[in-house]
Amino acid sequence: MTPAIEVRGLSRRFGAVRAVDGIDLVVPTGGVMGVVGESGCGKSTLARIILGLMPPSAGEVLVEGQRLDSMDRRARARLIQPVFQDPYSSLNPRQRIRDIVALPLRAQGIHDDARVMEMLARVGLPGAMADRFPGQLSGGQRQRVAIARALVGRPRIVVCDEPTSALDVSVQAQILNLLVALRAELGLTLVFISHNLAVVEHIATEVAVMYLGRIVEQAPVDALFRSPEHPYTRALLASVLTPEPGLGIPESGLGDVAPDPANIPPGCRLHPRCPVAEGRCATDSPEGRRSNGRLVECLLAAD
Amino acid sequence: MADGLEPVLEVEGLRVRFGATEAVRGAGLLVRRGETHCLVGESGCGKSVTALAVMGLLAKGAVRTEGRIRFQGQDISGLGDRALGRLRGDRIGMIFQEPMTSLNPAYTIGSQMTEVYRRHRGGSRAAAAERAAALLGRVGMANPGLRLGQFPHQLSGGLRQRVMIAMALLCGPELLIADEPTTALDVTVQAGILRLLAGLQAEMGLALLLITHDLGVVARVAQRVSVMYAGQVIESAPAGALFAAPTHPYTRGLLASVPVPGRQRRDEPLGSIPGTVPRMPVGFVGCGFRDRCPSAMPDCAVEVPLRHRSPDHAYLCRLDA
Repeated sequence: MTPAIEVRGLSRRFGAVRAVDGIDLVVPTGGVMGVVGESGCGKSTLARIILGLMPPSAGEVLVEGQRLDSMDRRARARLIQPVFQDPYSSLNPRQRIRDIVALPLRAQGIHDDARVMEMLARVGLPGAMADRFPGQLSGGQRQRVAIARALVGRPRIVVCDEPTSALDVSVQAQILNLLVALRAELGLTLVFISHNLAVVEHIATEVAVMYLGRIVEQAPVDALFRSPEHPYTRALLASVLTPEPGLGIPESGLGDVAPDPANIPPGCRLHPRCPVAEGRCATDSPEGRRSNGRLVECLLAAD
Repeated sequence: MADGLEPVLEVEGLRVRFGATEAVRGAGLLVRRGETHCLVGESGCGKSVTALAVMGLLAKGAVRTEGRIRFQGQDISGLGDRALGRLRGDRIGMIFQEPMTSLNPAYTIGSQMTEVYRRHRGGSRAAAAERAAALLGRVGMANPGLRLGQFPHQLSGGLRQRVMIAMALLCGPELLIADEPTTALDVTVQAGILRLLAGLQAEMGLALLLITHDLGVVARVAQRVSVMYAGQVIESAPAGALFAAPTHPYTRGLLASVPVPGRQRRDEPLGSIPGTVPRMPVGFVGCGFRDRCPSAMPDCAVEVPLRHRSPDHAYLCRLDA
């Protein structure tokens, strides 16, 4: 079966910054690909390229087998839609909710107010909200509007970039529950970008861990959380503070030198921070090794 | 036990008004020496406003209408700006979420730190620089001498937050108030900063009031927790008791909404609290949570009793524990 998204040899540079540095990624149809990593790892750049909002410096993106750069904006918008972190800056403050949600339909030449109202109801917004402006809504309600706008044109894929990061936990739970229900109901494929591993564990079927522009580990969600193999994945998982008192504060082992995408170290890019690095990690570049549906890019894991 | 330790900060019946909205509605807190007390709640619950009121840093338009604030037994509610300014940065240290907004980008780390120290303690520039370097070393920064000559933008977010902590501790405060100190940081850096804060708190016998929305942070660092909702502390308990036996319906809803890896089945929805946080008008009577509460009854609109599940576990609700 043709995967929903296939990314091949994807790179994106901004001057000296290698934001995305040679990524291969396959998102199966109907799956939820969680992409995690620290700030500066390139996860949002990857999202923007997949959405067609930014051209790659090298490599290509196939959406349902078709090259993304061969499609016009309209064709792309029918297939793939975004939901961003801050619904306030992504919604036009001067437009009424009904017009915001109708926009993707209008772009396709469709005028169907009933469909807009149906979509608003489906995301849990009362009909009375249709004539309000974004500024009159709460953060959670605005994110529901962004989801309604993304889904009204019945896309096949939704790319969510930190969709709940600006929300309070109780509202985050509402939005996650909504996304899970809509995905099952509409058979959507999701790319779900987040710095919050607990959220990704809850929603994803597969997880890609990014570090300085590369995917260093990728595996089905249960395998990744149960037995992380890359030292970076292990450190990241160890750093998650679950609400369990008495466990104390974990030691990630990574130190707190921030990774700098403008100065990517030679050899394995994690080696200056890696708690288990050996001499060769400073000189030899690891290659990704795949087995049992898992990808790991680490010299030590290859032994 | 914390019971034997002297209170450093006592807040009673605090009320803060922004025009027709009451952001804090009779909040009370007690932070003891050597204790980390977490004040937790969602945005708009009044947790940051409570801290700002304690420090006398309320924004224009916000007015403290009632409440008593005592620091080391002394009533500071009536102190003017200058007297409070002498306490802040000296006996009361402060750390905020985004160090970039609290550090001046135009001055070096060293000049900002020595300025704070000399303002409160006087002395020579050289002595202040020495003190600053010692504190930078204490918060885990290698090569403090070099750091003193650097500007804030030359440091990563985690290092900037370490500078903020060093600056807050320069004068050896008795109380440290940290408002979302790790919220802007990556999880890997967050753990390091929290461990540092916990270590310093224990070693210096600080009273630490840590304000956060993150229940993971609360669980791992707090000895005592106060949960705020709609301007009130609706539950307060030792950390273990609060997580083991959350009693207020809001606390229970909040805990259920946090995804915990491996804990819940993925095909089951997360617990969530319907509706949104209300704005409380001045003069509001009854329980602020009643419109979202699954157990609300008519009397909740009249009066809310403060009840105790155990002597040190209090909650604001009519329901039995």
